[in-house]
Order: sequence, then structure tokens, then C-alpha cells
Amino acid sequence: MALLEARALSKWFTAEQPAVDDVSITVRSGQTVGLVGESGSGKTTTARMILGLVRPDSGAIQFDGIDLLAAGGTEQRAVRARLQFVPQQPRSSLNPRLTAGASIEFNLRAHGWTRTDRRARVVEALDAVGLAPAFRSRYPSELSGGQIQRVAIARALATEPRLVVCDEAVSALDKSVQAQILNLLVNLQADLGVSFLFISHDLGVVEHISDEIAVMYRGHVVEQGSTSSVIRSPAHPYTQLLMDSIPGSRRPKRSPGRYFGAAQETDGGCVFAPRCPLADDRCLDSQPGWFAAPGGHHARCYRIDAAIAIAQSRDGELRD
Amino acid sequence: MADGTGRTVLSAGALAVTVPVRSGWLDIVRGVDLELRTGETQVLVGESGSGKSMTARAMLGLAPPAARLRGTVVFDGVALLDLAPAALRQIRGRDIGWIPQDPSTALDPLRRIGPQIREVIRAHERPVSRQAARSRARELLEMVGFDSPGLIARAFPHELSGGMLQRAAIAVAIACRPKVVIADEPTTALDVTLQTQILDLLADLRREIGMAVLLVTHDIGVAREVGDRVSVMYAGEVVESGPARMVLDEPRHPYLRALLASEPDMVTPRGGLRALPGQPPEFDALPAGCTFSPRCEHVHDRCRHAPVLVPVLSDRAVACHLVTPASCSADEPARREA
Repeated sequence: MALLEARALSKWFTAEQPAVDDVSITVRSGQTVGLVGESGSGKTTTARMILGLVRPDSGAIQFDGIDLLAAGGTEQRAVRARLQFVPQQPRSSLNPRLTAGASIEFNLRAHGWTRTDRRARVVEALDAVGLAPAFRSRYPSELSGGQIQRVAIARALATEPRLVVCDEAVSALDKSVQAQILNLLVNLQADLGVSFLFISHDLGVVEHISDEIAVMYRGHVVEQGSTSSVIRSPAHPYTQLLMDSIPGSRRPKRSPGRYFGAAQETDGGCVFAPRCPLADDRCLDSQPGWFAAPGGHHARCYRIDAAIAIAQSRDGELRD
Repeated sequence: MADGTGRTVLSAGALAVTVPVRSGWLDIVRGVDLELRTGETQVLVGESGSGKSMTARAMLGLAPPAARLRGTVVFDGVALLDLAPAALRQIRGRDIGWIPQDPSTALDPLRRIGPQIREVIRAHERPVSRQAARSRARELLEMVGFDSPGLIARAFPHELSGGMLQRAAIAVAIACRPKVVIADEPTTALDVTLQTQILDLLADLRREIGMAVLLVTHDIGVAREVGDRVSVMYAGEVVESGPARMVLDEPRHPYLRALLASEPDMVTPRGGLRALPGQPPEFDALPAGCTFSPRCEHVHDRCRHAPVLVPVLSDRAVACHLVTPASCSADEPARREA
């Protein structure tokens, strides 16, 4: 059975446009699921709903056999020990007046660990992320960006979680340090069997670390499935645009003006239709459901066949 | 890409920047040489704290007032570091444009876009009639890809999206058809799909206006995408420079090699990224000798002495004891560890 099963989550912050619309995410035990999208795509809101920080307007969340939306306060608190969070900006999420050890201990105390157990566990958790016991007494201001991120990971892992939600956990790090943290997360997963929901705008990072991937655009998941299938044969025009946009990718030059323009309001149609070069009347009229792509994953696109054909012909050009 | 025959318009020679801190002075740019040629994009790439932004700012006379500058910056035969502020202001904005990292803080939030572009034109090209400046502003907004420039000219910055703001800021930077544009992380604050638009736009404008571009970035992908030439900075120094393709496809300096090898992708087995150990040094505790040596897997005795940037091939230079002209022939890259 899946460890986390979020079904048809929706959230409206304003009446005009949903922040998240009909998003379903499944994470199996020991697995990493990547959630990729640009700013405003709803990936962080999705994470916050799963973490219980934002209440969805509709949908259901099952975690470890518990219905999170129906669970009472005590039960929710018990669940949170097993469902932890590594935030985007650890420097602002760690209390600057608490030492690294005290921050980790704070989390343990909230989940009922005794004083002696806490002391031992802090050292264990620091060790797991490659920090010497002396780091216990360091303040955030005395740590580098990479070290702070390690402390944030140690804090999340201390309560022995089954799922850790990482929101842009490596985005603020320099490239030379980013690889250290990615390796650390992978090794921790191998050792502890922990699952990750890994949120990032960086497709390169997500494709490296994830077993499965969900691509979000304006509140919708537009393409979802195994990472290798999505990355090798992206079927949604937005995913294709995203992959073309990675600087330094050997993409053929696009025709000028293509995709130019910002996201616009859509009136009941596909959210990507206003920017999509393949959009036809149907795309403007109604939201597409899921269509199967050849690799075995799925995309929400009426023009999936045309999109795949274009991608394949371009791959052919690239090879020539 | 340009063919590399352009003439040098802006250059820095042994440029050094020293800034005061509580405990004394820190050398944060330590002898940087750069050459910008007409029609070319020179990329300055490095991690945070490598001194790349400060180098770019110093070339424009935008270093912090308390900073001490040494070396030379020459624009079209004029030594910029010796100029009085008023004279420098004449060049900056007219001959050298500046594209900021975050356009939302660079544009005046209380004024409409049009007047902000007109201000630059009127400051540098007197006398310009109000009407002429107005139509020039419209043209500029059209050049940076706006379909309805009139509407944008009347908009306030808060009414525009991040990508639109950056295009407006670029319109300001190129308002006087500068010979050089210096862009400090111009796409870092933008989503990746907008980033491509802005980079394509800069490349188009460079061709149209025939200007030289100095692009500062932490993103090697961006350097590869738009760079004709690239200089890689580490701890305030250039450690490798040369034609972008050559340098990034066949890096010689151990730092650049390790940095490129640490890029995540789907091919590398998970957990097997070749991560660089440690972190970039702090300027108040620079390692003696080669500043990269504590993180370098090839470190040896000679690295106790700081290496200098030496030409290794025509057009390429590397600051590493292990990489010498003798160890590099044009066909055979130096691969010590391979």
C-alpha cells in the first residue's frame, strides 16, 4: 500500500483562480517523488496541504493508513513525527537564538522524547548528516549554507519519519555544495528507507533524485509518471518547453516568438492553452483528462499525439 | 555566436577590490583581467562569494564607496578608475548599460515605465525633445518584445510580471545604444521558461546594436548557452578563461572540472554525484598558496605557492600548477586523473 496517497486536492485562495486544482500524488515507501514546476504552479501549496499547514478545499489525504483530514489534533500530532519537512530557506526556519542541537531537540520534545533520549538522538541525527557532535552547540550564524541545510535535514530525520517533504531543499546552495546534499539524501534513503516528496523548480535536480515525477503548471499536474519515461519522452507541450528551457541544453533554436507571453486566465479550457503552440478549439473549451504516453506515463493534453510527433522529429534532427 | 574578430571596447587589467571590514581589509577581487570585444558575450561565472559581481560593479564604478580599487579599467581608451564621478556618469548609462539582477528593485516603483526610459535618454542626449524621447521609448519597448509599447510605457512597475519587468529594465539599459552592456545575473530571479526568452533577447540585441555584453552568472548552463568567451572565478581570482565552448567542454582547472562533474543528471547513478568536498573559502581565511588546494583531489607540494593564470593554448589560460602549456596540446586535453 502507498505510504502517502493524496487524492484530487484543490485549494482556492481567491475566487478567480485555484492555487491547486485536482492534484493527486502517491508516494510509496522508500521512494522519491519529484514535484517540478515554476513559481506559482502550486507545488508549495500542494506540499503545505500534505503537511497539514493548509487545509484543502476538497480532496483526501491518506498517510500511513490514517485519514489526515479527518484526524483529530492528538492523532495529527502523532502523525507529524512520521511526516517531516525540510524548508526552502533553512536560515530563516532555524531559530537564530537556538543552537543547532537545541533546534533538533525542540522537534524531539514536541514529539514526546525524554531528555536522555533526546540528547543521544541529537548526536545520532547530526552524525547521520555528516556533522561532528561539536556542531550541537553552534548557532545558525556560525554555519555555512550547506551546514545549515544539513542541520535542517537532521532536525527532520530526528523523529524517525517515514516521509520527508523537501521544498526547494537544495535550490539556495552553490552547485559545488548542492551535489553533497543530494548524495546525502540518497544515502539516507538507502540506510533508513525514508521516502521523499522532493519539490524543486530545477528539472535537472528532480530528474536525478526522483523515481517518479509530477510536472505542475498553474495549479494542475500536467504530466506524471516514472522519471525515465517522462524525461525520455515528455508528452505535454509544457514539459517539453520546460526541458527546452534548461540553459545549455542542446536544443534546436525555437522559432522566434513561440511561447512568448505570460500565463493568462483561461476560461474552462486547458491551463496551458494560451501559451501552447498546438492549442485548438477543444483545448480552449474544456480541460483535458489524462492520456497515456508511449513510455507508460500520462499527460493531460488533448494534442498529446501531435506533441509527441513533434518531439520525436526534433530528436531526429538533433541526432543528425 | 560572434566570430571573435571584434575590437576590444572595455577591459580590466589586474583589477583588485579591497573592502573594509571590522577587523581590517579584505581582498575580494584579486587581480582580474578581462577583455570585452564588440559583438561578443563575455561570461563571468562563479559561485556566490567568488567576486564575480564585485568585478562587474568595479568596472562600472559601482563598487561600494569605501572600497579601494587597484589596477586598470579602460573603456575606448579612457581609464575609468581615474575619472571624476561626474565624467564617469556621462559614460555609464550612455556608453555602458547596466542590467540589474532584480528589476523590481532597480526600477522606481512610483514612476511609470515610459518616463524612466525617457529620463535616461534625456540625461545623456541633450537636447532631445519630449516628443522624440517619447517615441524612442516606445521603439525601445518594442525592441524588447512588447506588442503594445504604449500600454507598457504607461504602466507602473508593480503592474508588470517579473519577465516583463526585466525586459523593461533591459530597455532602460539599451536606451542610448550603448557599446557595452553589463548584466549581473539578469535571469536568476526569473522562471526557467522566461529565462530563455531574456537570454534570446539579449543575444538578438547584441547582434542588432553590435554591442559587447558582460554577463555575470552562477549558472554554467547559461554560460554555455550564451557565452562566446568565459572566465571562471574562484575566491576572487580568474582560474580559467577562454572560448566558452572549449573551456566548458574541455575544462582544465581542477575546480571547473569538479564543478562540471557534480551537475546532477539522470545518467549518474543516484547517490553517486561527484560532489566537491568542503565549501568555497571565506575571504578572511583564504588558504595559503592555491586557494582551491584544500578541496582539490590533485593537490601536491607545489600548490603551497599560488599559481598564476598562464596561457596554455592560444586564447586559453589556466591558473593551476598541474596545467602547463607542455601538458596541453591542441588535440590532447590534459587529463591527469583519467
